[in-house]
Amino acid sequence: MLAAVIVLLVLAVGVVVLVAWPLVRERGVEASPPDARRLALLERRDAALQALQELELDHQAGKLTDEDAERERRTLRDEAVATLAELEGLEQQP
Amino acid sequence: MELLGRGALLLALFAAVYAPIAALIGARTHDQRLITSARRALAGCFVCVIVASGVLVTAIVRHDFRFASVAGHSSREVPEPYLISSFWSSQEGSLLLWLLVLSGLSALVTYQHRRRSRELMPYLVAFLGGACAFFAFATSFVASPFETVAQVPRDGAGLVPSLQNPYMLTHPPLLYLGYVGFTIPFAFAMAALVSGRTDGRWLQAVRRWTLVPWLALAVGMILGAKWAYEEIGWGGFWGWDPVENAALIPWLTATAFLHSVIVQEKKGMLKVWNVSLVALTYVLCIVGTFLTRSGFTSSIHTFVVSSVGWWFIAYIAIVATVAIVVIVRNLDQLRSPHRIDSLVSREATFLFNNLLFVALAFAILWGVLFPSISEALAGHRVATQSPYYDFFAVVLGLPLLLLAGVGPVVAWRRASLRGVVQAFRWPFVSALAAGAALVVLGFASSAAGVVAISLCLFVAVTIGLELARGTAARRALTPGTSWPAALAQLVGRNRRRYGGYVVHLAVVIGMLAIVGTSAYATSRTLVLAPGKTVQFHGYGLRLRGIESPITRSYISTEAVIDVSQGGRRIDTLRPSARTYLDSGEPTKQIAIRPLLHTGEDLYLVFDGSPRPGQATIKAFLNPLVNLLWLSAIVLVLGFAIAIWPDPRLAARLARRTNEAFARAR
Repeated sequence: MLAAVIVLLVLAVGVVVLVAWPLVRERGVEASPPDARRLALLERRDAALQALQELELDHQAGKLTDEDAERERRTLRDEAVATLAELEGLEQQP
Repeated sequence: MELLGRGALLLALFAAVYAPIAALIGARTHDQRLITSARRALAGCFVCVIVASGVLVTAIVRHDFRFASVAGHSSREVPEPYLISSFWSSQEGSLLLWLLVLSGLSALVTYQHRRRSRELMPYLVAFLGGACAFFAFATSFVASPFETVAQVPRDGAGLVPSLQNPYMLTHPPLLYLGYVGFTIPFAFAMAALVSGRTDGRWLQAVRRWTLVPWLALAVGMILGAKWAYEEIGWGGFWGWDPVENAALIPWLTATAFLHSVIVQEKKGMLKVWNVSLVALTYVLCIVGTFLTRSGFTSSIHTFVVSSVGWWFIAYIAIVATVAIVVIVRNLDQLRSPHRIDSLVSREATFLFNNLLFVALAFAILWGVLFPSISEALAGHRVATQSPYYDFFAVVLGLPLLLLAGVGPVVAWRRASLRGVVQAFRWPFVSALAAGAALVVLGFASSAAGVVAISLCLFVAVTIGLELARGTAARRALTPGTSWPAALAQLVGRNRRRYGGYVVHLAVVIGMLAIVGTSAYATSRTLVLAPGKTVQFHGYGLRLRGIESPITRSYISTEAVIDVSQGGRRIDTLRPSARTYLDSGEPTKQIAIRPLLHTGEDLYLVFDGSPRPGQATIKAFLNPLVNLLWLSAIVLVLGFAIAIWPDPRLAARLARRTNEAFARAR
């Protein structure tokens, strides 16, 4: 019984110290959150570039006809160019 | 012991309640210290649950029958390795195991993402802490594993004999890891929506944390099937039991998500659908748990009727309401500018596959709920029989199998007819040839069987061609590379895609086992007399005699049968019937002769003695059944390839995030 009480006390103190430790430290400097619009555009840019790479490999592997590959390549390039233009526009904003 | 167990659980409850409160206040006041403190509270909760679990394990090992959960589910006669099964065979212990896994995963995932997902953290902690608080409350006040009995018995009631099986040491914990694991993607999805950070970071985390419980459920179900096959003695491994279904239903919706998330990553589409699938999967896990714990359904391994069911209903209602409100309030964030251009495209294939998976999940759920619904509405219980489930498994499962072959190959956005013909001519011809060969060889007794095997070949050839074409393309890019090196490079550069193909291969292998046992298995009841040989599908069965060994735990009656093939004795099998001394429960011990090169099993069940010295034997021949166990190994291999961290992917994500953060500063 006494042993159980001691173990429980040690456990309780341990948990309190673990939880309270960050509260007694100084408040850190908080990083600003990333710009959500910019992050979304960067994601779109990366997705388009990766899709272009995969398209070339699939075409080379014979999974796509030349016409299908060309059409998809054009669409992906247009998408990447539009995204990059939008990103540039965002950079120039104050 | 009782005080320590109860006290540790109460401390866990305090920590779990503190975590969401502190996290949400921290988010509101932008106080990072409070959020860190809340995150650490989850770790504190885990430590307390470890102590409580240690107390229960000690009580089980020491045969401390003061605890009702120990007295009711173990005894001094239970063999030592199986004693640990007593932990989760009681309602109370299983809830404690749930809490142990949940708090452990919560502590791990919040520690792992403390920097990467900073903006999500308060909400992630809040959702995980809320879930931990519910289970800590349930184990503290509703179904405590530390409840004591008024009069301590000299021995416990024992562990159900059928649970004294090696598979029962792994099957339940894996299912728990599966059920509980789906809390993590749910919490991530909700946290991303509430914090307005629905970029790729949460998606990557959710995908990885969906794969882990998905695999755990899959392997858990296969091990459960192996247990049922070897222990129950009806010749099969899947009986559409409510508890089996409870695991299968969320697995199906999670599988749908693992496919549709690819469309979101590649095309930015199906965002609402994806978060809804994540939420649905978690809700279905809790519904499954409710079904097995409330006495709502009857099954060979449901828990006793208990008041915990009402608490589960309340929890399901809260989780579902929160999920719906969070998704509806954030619909704007989830809108996609893209549309599906063509029905013949990879995104459309994934959408069809998702609709089929979800339809199958709901068809099975309806089958599970229908007996109780019919009882409530019409006053009598109408059981859902296997033909109902088999019908939907065939009608929805076969198109799914076809899509497993089509999806990975068809082009994104829009595929031309020429492209489709070019990609699928060889798989299609192979499937057609396989179907014709099966009909000629006499397998036309099951049309679904012929179609399923043909489709399996279609998928296998598609995967084989994919690997061959990809490897050839890689060799063309880097001349001089050997075929194995090119294959390794190919897989290494896109682990997710090729890991997925290996998983599809596992599905094909598993499907062959299912088709073999459901469409082409045969069985017969044989009466064997001593010394006489009876023929059964090319096997000669000769009863050598009947023996009655007695051990400390049970009395057994064994039929000793010599098995021969082509006149040559190949094995001696001993199917038996046992009666356990402590519980008086009769069980059947199956005798199996596997033929690994054909994948078939000769499966014998002892069904009593019609006359002294004779034995009634139910004999089954199960073709291809062993492929199911092989599929589990291939599945794990595919999973390992798919989940192995891709440094290029991580670097790209880090670079993108850094770019976005740099601008914010």
